[in-house]
Amino acid sequence: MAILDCSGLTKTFGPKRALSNVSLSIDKGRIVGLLGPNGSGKSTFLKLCNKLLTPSAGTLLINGEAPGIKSKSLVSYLPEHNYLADWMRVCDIISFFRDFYEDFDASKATEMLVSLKIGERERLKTLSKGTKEKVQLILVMARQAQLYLLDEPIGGVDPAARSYILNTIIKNYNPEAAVIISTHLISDIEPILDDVIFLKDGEVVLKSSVDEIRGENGVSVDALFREVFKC
Amino acid sequence: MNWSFQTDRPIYLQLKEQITLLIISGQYPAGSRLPPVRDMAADAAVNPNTLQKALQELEREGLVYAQRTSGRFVTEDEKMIEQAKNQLAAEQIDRFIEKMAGIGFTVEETLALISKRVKE
Amino acid sequence: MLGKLIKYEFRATGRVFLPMFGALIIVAVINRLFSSLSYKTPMIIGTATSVVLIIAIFVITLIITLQRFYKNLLTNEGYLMFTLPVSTDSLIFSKLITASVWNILSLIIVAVAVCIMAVSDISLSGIIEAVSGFLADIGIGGITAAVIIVEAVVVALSALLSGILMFYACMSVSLLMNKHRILFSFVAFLVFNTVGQILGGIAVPIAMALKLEEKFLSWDLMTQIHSGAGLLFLQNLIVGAVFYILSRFMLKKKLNLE
Repeated sequence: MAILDCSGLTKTFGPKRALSNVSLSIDKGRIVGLLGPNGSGKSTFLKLCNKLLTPSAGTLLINGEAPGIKSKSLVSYLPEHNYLADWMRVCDIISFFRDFYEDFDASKATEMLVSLKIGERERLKTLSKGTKEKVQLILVMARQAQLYLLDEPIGGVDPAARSYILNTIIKNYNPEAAVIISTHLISDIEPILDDVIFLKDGEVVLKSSVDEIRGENGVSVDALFREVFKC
Repeated sequence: MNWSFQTDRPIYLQLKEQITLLIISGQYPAGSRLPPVRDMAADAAVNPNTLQKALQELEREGLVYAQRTSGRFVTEDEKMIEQAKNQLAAEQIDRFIEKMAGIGFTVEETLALISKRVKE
Repeated sequence: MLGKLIKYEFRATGRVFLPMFGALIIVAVINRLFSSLSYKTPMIIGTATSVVLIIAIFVITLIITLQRFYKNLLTNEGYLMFTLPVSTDSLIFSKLITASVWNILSLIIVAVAVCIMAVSDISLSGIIEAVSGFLADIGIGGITAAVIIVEAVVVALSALLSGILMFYACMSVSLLMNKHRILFSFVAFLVFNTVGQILGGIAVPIAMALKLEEKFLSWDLMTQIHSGAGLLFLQNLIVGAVFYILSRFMLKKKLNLE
């Protein structure tokens, strides 16, 4: 069953078309890569799914319903931006998540904080940019959500943390949940993907499974991406 | 365990080969239980669905079998493992002969070269 | 969920207000001690400090009222707030309620500090006596006086709420711009005020034409006070509702975080 379904989804900003006539269906249990160069509409798509933007045209359904309070309790979203208030401590934001999300597993979050050596009493102000990103990812992955929307989850962290993050996504795998990962670092995440969607100038130019791409074209997704988006 | 994947072939096929190798080499002995899919996938850093697909292929071939509640096991049929071993050896030999032919050696010449090399 | 939002709102703002309130009260008490000992120089320094603190409290209260809405909802923190499973109404109300409480508390704390520092003894009962004395002088007493005080409080409260909502509306309409949002909020503030004055300017001649003024003056003092308070309250209610609906619409339909 599809957890996310959209058809003719379009978002314009004045004269600029950020997303143009996108029709997609994402099934439960899939890990999907949303791939495209900067400005291709990846973040716009994820923001629409979170009701952070209102569509200009088309429909978008999450678990059969338009984005709203209900969908927000099912979706765990990692934005590109750091949304943590500086004055909070790590433990404050943990209890914040526990208060607002019923599916938040605080013990899982604590476990991940320990393995990434982040102290619960530390103030967010004193943490480095990369560490803040890790904290945010921990918060997002510690939820038992039905749809994870991860915008550039591995962009700003070192390779060791990158492996840890990919591992967390694999370990967290749930056949009842889908994961959408937007990124331009394809070779790193390729082995963990089921399907890929290529976005170019706001349009879907390819939707395929990783096995199909490798089986039929005899090239990796990364190589195909370089071919499709050759400058 | 070091898993590595080439870029030109589907990952599930490569997983299948590497798991077969683990069984043949005895790292997963006959009759032993395989680790849960999620742990194995995390270890190999691959998608659990992809690993599932590789294991299903192995199941079809009979090298592993699933028990509804307790997970997947390596076959207890030593003969079958032996067979897989031989098949893998045959594939490697074929590939090698092909490569040697590419360089310009006939099968006989290749054999001669091998026995000479081994004696050295 | 509104309760939880308010809880976190107080947690985020209390860490600024509570130390500030504490500082003012301490300075006021020290000041009082020096003044009773009649030391000139420390008294002048103390008075200056408390004046600065009082001004600071009013300025900071205004800044935090604005900043909690703008920073928490319209900048990066909005990515967290708007993806919580809560309604836009809860988000606005949590800010509105918390900001109102701090605004009222600021006034009360400043009043208390002034009472502490005042050379002649001013106490709460003294103020009540003075006010009721004044009302008695113009021929109002007992229950009527209490009603008037309640009316004044209600009007002041509605003015506070509609005032805060106007600031929220100014910041919310800045979502129409992609850049210079703070600047645009100021422009919106000026525009809203100008529109308000124009509407007021239109209302006066209309009232004159309908001879409402004569009617009003023909009433007795009590009716004048009650209807005046009712009118002010109604005006605040309408203005507040307009700004609330505008803010809600902007946050729901025009949200566009950077």
